Amino acid sequence: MKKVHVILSILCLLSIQAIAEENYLHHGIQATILVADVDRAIDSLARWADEAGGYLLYKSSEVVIFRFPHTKVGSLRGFLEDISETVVELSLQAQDLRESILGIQSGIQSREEILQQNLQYIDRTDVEGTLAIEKEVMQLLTEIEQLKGKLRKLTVDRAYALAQVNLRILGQSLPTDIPSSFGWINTIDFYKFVGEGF
Amino acid sequence: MKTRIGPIAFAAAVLALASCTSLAQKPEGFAEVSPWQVAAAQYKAVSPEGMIYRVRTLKNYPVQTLEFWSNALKNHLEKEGYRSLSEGQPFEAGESPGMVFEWAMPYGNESYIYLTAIVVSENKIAVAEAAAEHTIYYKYREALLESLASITIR
Repeated sequence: MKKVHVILSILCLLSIQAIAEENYLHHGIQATILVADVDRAIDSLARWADEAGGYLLYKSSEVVIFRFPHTKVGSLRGFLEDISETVVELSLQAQDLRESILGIQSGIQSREEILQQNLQYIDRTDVEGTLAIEKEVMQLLTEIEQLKGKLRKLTVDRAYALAQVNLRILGQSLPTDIPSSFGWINTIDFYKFVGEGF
Repeated sequence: MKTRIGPIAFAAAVLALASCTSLAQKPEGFAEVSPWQVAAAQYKAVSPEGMIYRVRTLKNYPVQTLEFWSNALKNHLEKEGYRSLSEGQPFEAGESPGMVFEWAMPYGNESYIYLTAIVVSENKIAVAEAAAEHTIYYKYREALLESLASITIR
């Protein structure tokens, strides 16, 4: 009976891993929350990211940016609701990275093929030709490294969602004053109300 | 003659008392602004932090329902750029239905919450407003909601 449980657990773990590996979406989360204690909220966010298997990228008294495994995207809203007075905004974007990954992979492959061809030519050419090929090889190597870097970034994007949590309402722009057809609605004005005093 | 003055004086006193009745009950922790310091058909209270709570009545014209006015208010403020924190929360103020909205607003470097509520009767609309920096607002939110439920449209 125990063996069955162990086998089932392993199968379950493997299937979760397979789902994670098959993910080609990059999730981006933009949230604005209002909290009573900013420092405590920053600590909580950093701890949550860490415990979820992610890491902190940037923190200030206004914004916290972190990465965390995409499998935890669903639990972020609940956590933000727990630590805040109110969640003003929470938007989720998802971008399919397949096209970009395939483009980069084919870019690397084609450059590696050209690189191999150029390396074969080196033995058969004179000094001038060797120098020209060497220059071309250096260029190709740089391009391949750049593409590999981009591929690594996309691999991280696949595995980790990026969250930006604003700790105050950003934007100083005042709402537009648009007249209403109903007279009394025109008297509802936050800035006028706050500025009036009593 | 004496028998006629008695009932008239009594009626006048009742009317005077009726006109002095507040539009709403004072939210807990607030100080009421004296009725003679605010315009007629208005109620004002202020918290120690300076958060103002105001209730006023207006004519329900064109005569419409709570649903109509709630949609009109919400649509208008959203069009102006106000950020709603919810779809609106219905409540009962005596026998009249009401709807409360909360808006997140940037003000200087701070984040404010602006409460707008309406209570609609056949002839009048009561409009309640309150606003404060969010930590202060949430300190008094429950008291404000209790006061909204006490709004009486005269």
